[in-house]
Amino acid sequence: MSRPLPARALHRVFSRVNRKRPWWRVPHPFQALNLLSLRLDRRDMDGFDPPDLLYSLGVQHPGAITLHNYPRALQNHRRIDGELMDLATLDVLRDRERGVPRYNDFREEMRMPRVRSFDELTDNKEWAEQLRRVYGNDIDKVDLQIGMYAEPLPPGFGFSDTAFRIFILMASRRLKSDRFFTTDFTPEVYTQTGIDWVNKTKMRDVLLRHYPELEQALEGMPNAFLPWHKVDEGGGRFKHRVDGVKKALAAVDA
Amino acid sequence: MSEGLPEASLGESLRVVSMGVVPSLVRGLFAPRKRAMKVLTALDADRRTTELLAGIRERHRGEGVRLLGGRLVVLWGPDAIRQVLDRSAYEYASDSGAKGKGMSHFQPDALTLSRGKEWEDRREFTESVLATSERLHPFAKRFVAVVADEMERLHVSGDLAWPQIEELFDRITLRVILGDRARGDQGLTALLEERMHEANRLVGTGDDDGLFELHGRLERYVREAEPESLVAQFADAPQSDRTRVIHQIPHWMFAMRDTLAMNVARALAVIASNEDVEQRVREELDGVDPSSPDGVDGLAYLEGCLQEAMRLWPTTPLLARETTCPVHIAGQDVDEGAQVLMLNVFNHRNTADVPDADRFRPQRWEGGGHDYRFNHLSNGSQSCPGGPLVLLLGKAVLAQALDRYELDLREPYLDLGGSQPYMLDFFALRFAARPHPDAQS
Repeated sequence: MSRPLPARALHRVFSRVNRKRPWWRVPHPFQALNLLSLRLDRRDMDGFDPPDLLYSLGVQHPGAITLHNYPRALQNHRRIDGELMDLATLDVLRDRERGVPRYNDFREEMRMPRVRSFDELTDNKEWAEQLRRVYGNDIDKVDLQIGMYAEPLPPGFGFSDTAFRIFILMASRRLKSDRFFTTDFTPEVYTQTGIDWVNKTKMRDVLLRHYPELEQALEGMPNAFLPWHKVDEGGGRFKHRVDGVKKALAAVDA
Repeated sequence: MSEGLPEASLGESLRVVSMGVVPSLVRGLFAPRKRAMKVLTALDADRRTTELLAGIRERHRGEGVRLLGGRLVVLWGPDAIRQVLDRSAYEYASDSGAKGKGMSHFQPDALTLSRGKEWEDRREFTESVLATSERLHPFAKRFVAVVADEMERLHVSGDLAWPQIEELFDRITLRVILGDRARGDQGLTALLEERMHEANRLVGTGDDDGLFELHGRLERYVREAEPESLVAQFADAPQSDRTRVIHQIPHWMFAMRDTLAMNVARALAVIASNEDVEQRVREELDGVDPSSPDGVDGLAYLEGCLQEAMRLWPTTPLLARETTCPVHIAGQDVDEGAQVLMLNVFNHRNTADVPDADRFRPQRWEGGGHDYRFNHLSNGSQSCPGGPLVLLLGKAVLAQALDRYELDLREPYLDLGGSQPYMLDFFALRFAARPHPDAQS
């Protein structure tokens, strides 16, 4: 059995999504929700229908997993209990507290070569210089998350090679070493109906089972994790909400 | 003398390229090749270059000539050279052509390859670390002590030749820049040497792997900077995200280790082979403590000797600039993208303009000052930011060497009564050395 994987780090890196578009280019009002999250709390969220919220999530593009792309709202986030927190700092802090290895040590454990200098870590000169200054010329001090955000991406990849090793290779190995996904994934254990249910159900089906009104947004989509179709752009059934958010944005501006 | 930049004929153009530029490539633009130096010295290549240019200058006069339809400009007039060097890094970029291509193999973001705002940023950092505006670096006391210590440890038994001088400068360089604990890190200098030799080829220079290794090692020295080393100055030097401080170090390493070593070796050769010069140097050294920075700093005649060695045998055979916009030089329009060459080999030995150009005359440098014809340390905006530091270190080595040893030049033969040879192969230098009777240690 391989040693336990630092799933905390894994989860944290890949659950991070972000919007690169400035808010005035945002095509749909619900995308502005994130911007306004400082001013909205759970009570406001309760005012929206789940299909609207899911739709909003579906049409938004995830932000690039890279340095200098952390949502500002989360760096200055007021929790419901009133506590102000900087989630970006907390991410790094928690990794350190919990003994997640630094970037170079982590790579070594992944059987990857250690990087020797900041220029080898990233091909972005400015970042190399920023990191060198932040970490006091010590490449071995670079935090895992930071290093993975800084790495150049292999062609066609959305995230770094180091992240790929743990996320894709290790995570799928985990599944492959689970008997319920492998040797015991049989009709005798699951029944044929169970097997079919697992094999044929997709995220899209789950969504539509519960919220059939999302049909139009998901029509023809091979995969619900791709950005959905936009429907009723700026009008139709969302019209009153567009106006509402426009008003809210105007208030923020003023 | 007529003004302007006359157009040279095609034949002249081709000869300038073949005699002025090609030998520099053969010699090795970045790391001199031993065998090439031997062959070029046998051919007396620099004499041929100088004579060719002197002939062209005689025919055309002016501040320089335009070659190949204005794509190439060769300058010798001090006013024209001043104009180009004073506006270097702006209208005249020094990051083009072979220099840019070769140097980026071992120092891609070095000050000397930068332009405009980036150049200003890196220049400010470099000047601060090297204390360009001061005669004495804040750590001069330690640096001079390092030189004294290395001279003490130098193993001289009868003969002193290039390998020992090279090793001496290697250790001084590592200790001055990175601190005493770097003294034995020949692996670091070997990495840089290797990259520089690869850069000589200009083509097929390959990957960045060695560069990552080099930078990684330098980062480790900067991380725990030893007090009173140059890298200890980094913390207080102005810098930003585009300074690229690690990338600035290799240039200092080879300028101190290779370039200064060659110049000191040549200066020593002349001093050791000329009784009058040696006499004057020893008189100046009399009563001066070669381990005290102020003592070394005051050695004006010795400094003249070092400057003369640099002038007579310039380690940078030519300065090249590329125009970044249309410019006027000596009343002549020059297009954007033209190469402007200043052939130090010729300008330093231009007998028509420079009195006693071929003679070793340290007094020439007594008034200090900047003569734009002499560019071994360059002039203008991109003048060598390490100038005061290399002169101090060079003088310290010379003073220590003369203080400790009686030196006689065995090879090659230098006839000092008359003109100096055009080439002096430092690889072939060999001195007979015996302890000086009055040696202080």
